[in-house]
Amino acid sequence: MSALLTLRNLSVTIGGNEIVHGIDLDVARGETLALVGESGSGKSMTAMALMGISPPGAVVRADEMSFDSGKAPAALRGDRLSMVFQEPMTALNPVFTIADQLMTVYRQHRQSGASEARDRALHLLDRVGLPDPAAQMRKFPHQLSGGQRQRVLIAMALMCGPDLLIADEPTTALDVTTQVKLLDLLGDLQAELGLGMLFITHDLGVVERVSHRVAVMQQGHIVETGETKQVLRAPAHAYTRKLIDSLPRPRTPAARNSGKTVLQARGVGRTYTSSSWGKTQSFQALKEVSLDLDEGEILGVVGESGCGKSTLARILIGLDRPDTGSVEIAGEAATSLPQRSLAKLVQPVFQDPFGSLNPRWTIGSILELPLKLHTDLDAPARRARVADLLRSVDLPVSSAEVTPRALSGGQRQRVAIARALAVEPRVIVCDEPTSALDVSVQAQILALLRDLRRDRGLSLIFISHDLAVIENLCDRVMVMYKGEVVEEGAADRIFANPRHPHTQALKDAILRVEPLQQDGLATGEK
Amino acid sequence: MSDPVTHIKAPRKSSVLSHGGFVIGGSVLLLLLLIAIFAPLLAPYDPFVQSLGERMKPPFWHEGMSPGHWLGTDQLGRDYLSRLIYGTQISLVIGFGAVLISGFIGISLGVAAGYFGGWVDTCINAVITTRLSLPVVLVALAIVAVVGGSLTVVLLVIGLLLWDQFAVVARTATQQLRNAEYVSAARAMGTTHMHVMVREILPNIRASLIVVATVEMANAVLIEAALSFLGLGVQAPLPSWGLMLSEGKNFMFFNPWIITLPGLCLFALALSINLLGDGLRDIQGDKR
Repeated sequence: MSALLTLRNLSVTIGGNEIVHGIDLDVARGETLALVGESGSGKSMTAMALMGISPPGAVVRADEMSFDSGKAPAALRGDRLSMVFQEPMTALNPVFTIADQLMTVYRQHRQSGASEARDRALHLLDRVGLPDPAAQMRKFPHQLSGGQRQRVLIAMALMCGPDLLIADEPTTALDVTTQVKLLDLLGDLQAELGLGMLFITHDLGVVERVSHRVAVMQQGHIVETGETKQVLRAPAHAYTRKLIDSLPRPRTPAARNSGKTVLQARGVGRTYTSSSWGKTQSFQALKEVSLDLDEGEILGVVGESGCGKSTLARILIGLDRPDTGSVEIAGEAATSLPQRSLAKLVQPVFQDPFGSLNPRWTIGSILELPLKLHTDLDAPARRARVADLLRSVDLPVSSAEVTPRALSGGQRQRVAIARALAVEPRVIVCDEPTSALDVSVQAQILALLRDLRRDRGLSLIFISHDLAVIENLCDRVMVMYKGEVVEEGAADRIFANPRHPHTQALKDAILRVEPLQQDGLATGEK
Repeated sequence: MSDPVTHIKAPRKSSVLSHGGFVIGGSVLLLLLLIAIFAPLLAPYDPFVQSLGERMKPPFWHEGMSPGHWLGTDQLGRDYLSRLIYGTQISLVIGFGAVLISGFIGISLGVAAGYFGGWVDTCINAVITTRLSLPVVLVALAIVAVVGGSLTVVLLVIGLLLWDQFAVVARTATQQLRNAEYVSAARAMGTTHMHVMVREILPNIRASLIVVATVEMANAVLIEAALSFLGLGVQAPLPSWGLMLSEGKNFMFFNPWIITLPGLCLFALALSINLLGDGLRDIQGDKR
């Protein structure tokens, strides 16, 4: 295989800080190289430096940066090398049709006529698996689903027949089932067109699925590179091993529930209506959902975006009222309790560690607020309690003095958990609490939740789109699809023997990395 | 057991003092504020005492200046420097007072509209739209003409008219934060709507509101000057800069300094407030 992209001793410096430290990369024709690392490891910076689109103020240095042993890759971007971005909504311009955007790229680089460009666009839309390409061409980006938009972006990247495709987390923003389909599509296209592909991701499961070779990045260095199978089965570097260890793996449930029901929902339904210009539209987000949660149990709720799982969470914590049905927590009718009383029974932990803490408050005052509202403790007692809470989530007591800005994503999520624990609720509802975190941090948060359940007998409802995480943490699982519960049962039963086709599809979408050969017991629990 | 966290990043140092506009605007405004507060100590003469024998004395850079009157005297022989110094008080009272009144009205309406949405938003929006369709100077002129001009009336009229930008900005900014997870977390904890609006949302939209406040403060100062110039604002013999411009306009062809000096004062105040506002916006923008 001939080398397509050669990179020697690339470093990127921003504001005096070296972000990428002298890395070497090679991508051959017909090969997929995965660049894997956690957030802040410099992998996107590397891709941007290659494309010549580094942010302002970045200084890029390299001994060699050449494409096909010739020109600098930045000179050929859009033409012989093209890029697929992470967020398909923002990567497409909302005011132009799909046809406009596809054809512009082609006509700019090929000086061709409109009809030639149109033919090529139609051909590629068909190739990336969009039904009825002619109709899709007339649509605007907002009229397509996330998966369809990403297919359009792939088609756009292929318009000029590139030799190298750089894909920066192209499936991270998509549902798991869509992710698998797109990964397979990219793999097929790559083999068929003999493309070189540089695939940037944080997800080792994705690496295993798409790549031939992998380079592991940590803090701006490439710590390990090699054949994907070789690196994932027998990692040479400690960091690679840590990443693999952090992946959520199936686990025998602890089965510690007492059999006493703490939360019971019956026939909960919620319909949203919106009216504009006299037209009323309604959308049934939840249909007749019932669930039971035992004391000390972790119930997983899994489903794709739009399946109603977040609506269910908002109803359980009292931020939304159901149209039909009832929710009972610890024997009290939750739907008719004032929020202040309900707050003592159930507390949330949200998804976005950067959005769930008020950036203007110190961590101490964030944790004191629930104590002020719900206890009679005086100021010194509250501070002592805040220190206890911080210790219980393994944060240093000194972090009470800082604002959330000084904390990392994982640290913020610990604060959010401490806040939920402050009023000692009977139930905690976690809405995707780890999906914005790196795998190693995710493993820590999952371990923390397990510890808290063990030490305090917490009952948890854990909402996620990621079956692997659910499988790792939960005793019982409820699968939701289009506002309904389609399957429910003990976690091991559901995973061993899914009955509903949607559960099967979710299960098939889990991208696993097989356990290490030498250390078959690695489970993400430390 | 999960890994204990030991490392907490140090907060970043702010870049307040490296911003030129902020430093210059802030210094000039601070200087004017000090002049206003210590006017009785700084002014060499009583600004109201007339001395007809000393009329229209030129400032020190002209020949024939009167000893002691550094910036000359006006057509009634009052010391111009003292009047300019006391004029600072009027402009700053109008500026700060009007912003306090209009800020309170506008921010309350805007945050309520943005937070509650629905019919509350519809009603408040109607009020905002009504206000936006009124020409400020004309309405102020009409009210002052009917009620009669005085410092209090001018302050109230300007304060009650300039809240629209506060309301529009507060409403939009609140709408963006209404569904923030920390707002949901506070609601789930059982806090009141008042708590959410005042403690959770307001501190986070403060940055944009401070910028609006500076723009409106400069605006209020200039409207007061305009009203006084037209004879419908602060009444003589109070030493308002606008009034001084108005009184001096008959003499400006022979004694141009008589309108240049209050004009320069107004210019310096408006410029310093705007520089400060721009600086605040840039500095707070950095932190986002």
